[in-house]
Amino acid sequence: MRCLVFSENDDIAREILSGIRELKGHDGAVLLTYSEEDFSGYADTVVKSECPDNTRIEDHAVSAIARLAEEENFDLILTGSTRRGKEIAPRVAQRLGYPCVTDVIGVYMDDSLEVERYSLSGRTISRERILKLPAVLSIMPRVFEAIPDKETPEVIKREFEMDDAGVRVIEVRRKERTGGELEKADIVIGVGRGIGGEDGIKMAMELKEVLGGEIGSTRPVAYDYHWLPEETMIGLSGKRIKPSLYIAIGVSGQIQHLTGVMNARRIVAINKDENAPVFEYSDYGIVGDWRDVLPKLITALKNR
Amino acid sequence: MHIAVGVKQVYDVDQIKIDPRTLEPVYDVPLKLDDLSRNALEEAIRIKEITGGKITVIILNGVKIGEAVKEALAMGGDEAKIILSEGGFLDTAITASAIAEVIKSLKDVDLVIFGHASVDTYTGQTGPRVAEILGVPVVTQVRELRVNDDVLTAIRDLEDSLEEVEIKLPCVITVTNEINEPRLPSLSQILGARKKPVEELELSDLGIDLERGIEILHNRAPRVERLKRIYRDDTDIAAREIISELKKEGII
Ligand SMILES: Cc1cc2nc3c(=O)[nH]c(=O)nc-3n(C[C@H](O)[C@H](O)[C@H](O)COP(=O)(O)OP(=O)(O)OC[C@H]3O[C@@H](n4cnc5c(N)ncnc54)[C@H](O)[C@@H]3O)c2cc1C
Repeated sequence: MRCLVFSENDDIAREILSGIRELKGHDGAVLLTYSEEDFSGYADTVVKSECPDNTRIEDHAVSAIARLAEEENFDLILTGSTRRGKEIAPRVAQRLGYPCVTDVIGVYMDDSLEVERYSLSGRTISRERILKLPAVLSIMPRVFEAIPDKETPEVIKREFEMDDAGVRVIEVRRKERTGGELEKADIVIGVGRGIGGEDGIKMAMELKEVLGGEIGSTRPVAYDYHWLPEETMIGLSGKRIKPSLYIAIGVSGQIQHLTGVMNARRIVAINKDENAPVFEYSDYGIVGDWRDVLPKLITALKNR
Repeated sequence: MHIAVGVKQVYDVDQIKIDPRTLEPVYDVPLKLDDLSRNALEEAIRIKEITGGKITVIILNGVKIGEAVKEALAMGGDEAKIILSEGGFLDTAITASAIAEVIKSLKDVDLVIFGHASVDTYTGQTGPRVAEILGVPVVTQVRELRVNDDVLTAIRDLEDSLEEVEIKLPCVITVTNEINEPRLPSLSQILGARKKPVEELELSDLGIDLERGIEILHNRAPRVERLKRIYRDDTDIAAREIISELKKEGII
């Protein structure tokens, strides 16, 4: 199994390179990257390229990957399942005539290649067999752990010719950030529409003060009411997190949100509706108004 | 402007129950027009309101298509092309080839819009694959779209940034759930939809390769192993006990 790996996110690139090492018949990997990082211990070949100004990473990467795949026979091409990676993977697959599976959360090689991915907005996990190789997979963040090995990569600098993609980048604006990285936080407090507005957010912040961690949100909070920045949204179209503790406040527990927190070790829910679906997915739940419950939690924490 | 919108019919994922014994989903729930397909269609309607033109809705599914197409036409689609298959799983390469074939046969399509994924399978492959087959530019994850003559300006919603791009027509766009609030058709629109032209095509007549590259082995819910200790009465006790439990477990 010879692999070609690309992700514009260096962490995910390292995770994928570490994970595929364990696959039966693994025969080394080539990494394509635009990063300045050193990938010693992760790949036998690192192809460094540059994405020209005003060109989308997707358009350049699709051309570059297709070119590399013409030059060398890879069994598997892997991208990160970021929003960019999820465009690149199927385009590469279509260009080369390969099958493709996106949002992969498990890769298993035995007599044939099998993968797992979420289905039904995260309610189920679908196990799929790849009927022919080569194939393209896009791998979700943190499916594998980045662990360096002994490889000292040969570093090759390359330019790739590309056709006019018909798309021109005008501007890239970074999104507002509130705090640290949600994905790396050990404790996340998630607020939903039930938090009601500024007052509620303030009290959630107080809880954060005594507990530590980061604040996350649901779609109405981030995109409809803008009580918190968009980048705090957790779920199917937001972030997927893996904290030890997730506290959901005024969150109903629709699957599109919960799919982002399924991997939390403990989930605590506060909701005034005892039939809220979130309780089905919780370790601890308090049926009640956050105005009553949060001060009590804060006091209990201070006295701990 | 001739806009083609690729839409999908899905089971209502919020209503699907999981069989506790087999952990498999029980599909005895209504079919509906996919949420992100509705965003795609809504965006097409808004563009048509400015530029004029026509919206062709393309849908591929098993045999039971009905309500989804009617809803799409009631919302504002002008005509529909239904690709009938025998049901069962089709991999995205086949879906994309079929839709691309229909778009080619329409000859004068300027813009193709899809949801960036569908709420059931969420593969996100159809739009990018169709663009590759047609050999036109594609921009995914669009949450704001403006049309000026033969150039589109799009703002893409990426994890940590917003990317503004210009795309030449003809092209393929995939939109996010946040791009708009899809309209609900009025009664007269629902009645009017019955008169709009609908053409049915057989997947096997399209002359595309129907060999699958992927096979689904099973699709099951993960076992939810949560404690489910829900406090319904005394919130004082609840707060104290939960904090003490979490402390015992070394979580806080
Ligand atoms: C394609 C698609 C993708 C999506 N992606 C995402 C995503 O990534 N992330 C996401 O979050 N959503 C996503 N959604 C939306 C999702 O389906 C839900 O609509 C959303 O998560 C609901 O947010 P909520 O729980 O905050 O609001 P609601 O569902 O309105 O729930 C509010 C809850 O607060 C409770 N409440 C009200 N007042 C109080 C109070 N005083 N004290 C305690 N509890 C109170 C209520 O009982 C209720 O349960 C997506 C939807 C679609 C169709």
